[in-house]
Amino acid sequence: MNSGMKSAEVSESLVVFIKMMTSCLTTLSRVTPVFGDPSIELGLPRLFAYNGSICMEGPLNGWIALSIPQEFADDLLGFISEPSREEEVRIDIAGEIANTVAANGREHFGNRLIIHPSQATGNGKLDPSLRHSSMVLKIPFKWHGHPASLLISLLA
Amino acid sequence: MKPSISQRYLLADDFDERSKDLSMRRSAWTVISAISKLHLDGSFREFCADISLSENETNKVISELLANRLIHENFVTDDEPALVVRPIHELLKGSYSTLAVGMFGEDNDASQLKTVSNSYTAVQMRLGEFLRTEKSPSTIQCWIWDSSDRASVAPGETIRAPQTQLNGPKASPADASTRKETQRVTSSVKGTITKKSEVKKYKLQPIISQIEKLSSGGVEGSVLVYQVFLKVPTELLRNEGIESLKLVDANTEFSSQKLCQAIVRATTQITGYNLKIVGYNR
Repeated sequence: MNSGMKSAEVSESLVVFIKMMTSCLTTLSRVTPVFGDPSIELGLPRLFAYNGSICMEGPLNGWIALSIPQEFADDLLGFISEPSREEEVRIDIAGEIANTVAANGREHFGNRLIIHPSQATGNGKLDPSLRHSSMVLKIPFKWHGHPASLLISLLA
Repeated sequence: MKPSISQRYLLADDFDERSKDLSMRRSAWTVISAISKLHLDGSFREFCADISLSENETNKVISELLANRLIHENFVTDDEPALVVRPIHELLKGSYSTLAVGMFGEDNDASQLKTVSNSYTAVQMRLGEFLRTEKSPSTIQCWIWDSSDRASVAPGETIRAPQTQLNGPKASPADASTRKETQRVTSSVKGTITKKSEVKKYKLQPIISQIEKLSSGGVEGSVLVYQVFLKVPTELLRNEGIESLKLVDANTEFSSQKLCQAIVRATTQITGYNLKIVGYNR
């Protein structure tokens, strides 16, 4: 798994992404997410409606995704003064967070890690191109009273 | 979270499970040990001051106890006393008249047994004395069992995990009569699993805690545990009915030695650490 990168480095790298995701939400809204107890899910867990994901390749193979419900997306749109609550705009906000994290990740990791363009969906599913491993790390959190999840899947 | 004097704390319901493999600063165990014999109606900080802990040390103790989920804040009402804890000695009353306390290092030397005069002191010793050892929790186990079993414990054998449940149900006389048989013992595992008993159970929480402690903790610890379990065949987990592995779930148990061995192997592969897993007979 993720040959070329030691387990501690893998952990540290993923923590960088998690922190970027958290920081992005906090910067946009000035509301800090509160994390719950993580779990390892055998298979892909149930997702919220809107999902923004970042796929990584290289010494760290896998993806990290932000999964948020509609209320979460709507509140977040409110924080950035976006009046529209259309489906596409909700998908956009999930994708925008993922995109911001991807950009910051590229800046942080440079050539050490290939970070693909972010993807966003609004059907409660991840982009079909994303392969997931047998187990997915789910880190639940609450933001502005809304439940959401960060999902991590490392490929063997 | 920064504890303050106005916050209140309750002993965790699953205190036994959580405390089993923990290594904390000595003062934290001293506080827990002392709490067990008191009904506290003052503030937690006043209590810590009474046992001569500095403010700085008190903060560290509170943070450590909270982090290990041995205590949690009591948000029930603002009118309650500053600290409410369940008195361990009351919960234990009548369960054990005399307990022997054993500490086993890597050589599992049962000759280190000590007998204490009452259950309450035994709990104190368990928490306050034995776990202050500088050995890490991954290389040491501290258990309590009924002293009547002492004679049946041969050197080299290890004793099952404590039957003493600080917050759990009390042992019935029937339980006591069968305890000798069931406690006769499990094996201590270092890298491999030995087969001594018919049905052995393993708790996931101490395993996860050991792995998490190999990192700097927090999310990083969770990711490390995830990396380890990625190496464990999913069918072994599914065979045990595990579909979702909550990293702070104290209740998940399994009995598959194959799964046990797979976790040990995966941990070594990912971290280079030789994980120790202790099972118990059920």
